[in-house]
Amino acid sequence: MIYRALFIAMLLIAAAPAAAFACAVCGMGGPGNNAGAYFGMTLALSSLPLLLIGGVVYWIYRRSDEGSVPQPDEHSLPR
Amino acid sequence: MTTQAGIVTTDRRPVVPNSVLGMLIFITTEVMFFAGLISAFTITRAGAAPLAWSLPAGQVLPAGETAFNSAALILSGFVLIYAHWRYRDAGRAAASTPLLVATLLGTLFVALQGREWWGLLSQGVTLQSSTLGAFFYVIVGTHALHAIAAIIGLAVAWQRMRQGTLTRTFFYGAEAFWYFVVAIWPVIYLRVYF
Repeated sequence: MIYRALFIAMLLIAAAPAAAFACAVCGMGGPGNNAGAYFGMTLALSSLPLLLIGGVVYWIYRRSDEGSVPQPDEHSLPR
Repeated sequence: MTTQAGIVTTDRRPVVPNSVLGMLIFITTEVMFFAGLISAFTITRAGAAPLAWSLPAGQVLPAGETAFNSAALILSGFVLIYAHWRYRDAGRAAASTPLLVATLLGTLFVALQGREWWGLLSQGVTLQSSTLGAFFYVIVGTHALHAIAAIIGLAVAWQRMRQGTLTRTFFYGAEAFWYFVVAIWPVIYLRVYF
């Protein structure tokens, strides 16, 4: 019951900005999906740094797990 | 771990070479830079009137020709992966030729892009001719500058490889930057040209 109420509350919150004309870019001119473009780009620009930094950290973590594998010296040259 | 005269030392090696880690951090910032440009492009395009979002005299961006250039760039990325394998498994002598091929393919990409630009400029498509033209030159031009920098890095790596002075860290750093240039291009191409 409480989950259903929470779900409905979240839906209302998500829909509220448009209903209240509180979306700063929804009324802008142009035939394109302005609000969609802003929403998508906000999502992309917010998640991208987290994904990139998370990816690098995860890669380093995976490499540290392979520490038993002997690595060549930093300045060594393969023959 | 070894103990010698009361001093404890550990045989520790870096998990990731400093040059590669530094390059990865740099690439992260560069990805955000291009994401900002593409974001501005997307939002401006969504808000533009249909007639306002076009090139002068009804011209279109040469997506077909650029597909060939893109193929050369992506192929250079795969050849560089091959060069990496050869360098790791068989030594610098075996990696020299694939590294040179990858560098030349990258140079071909930049040269063909330059030819494409020359054609557009001669038809009156400039930074000031339209919003689309401005975005096109800024985004694609910035990528071209990165490609030129990466090609110089690969060329230096190839030269050092031939001289026997190439360090693993330099090669991997230059390699990482080239992979970034190759990987970001399809996103730019699909977003800007279509």
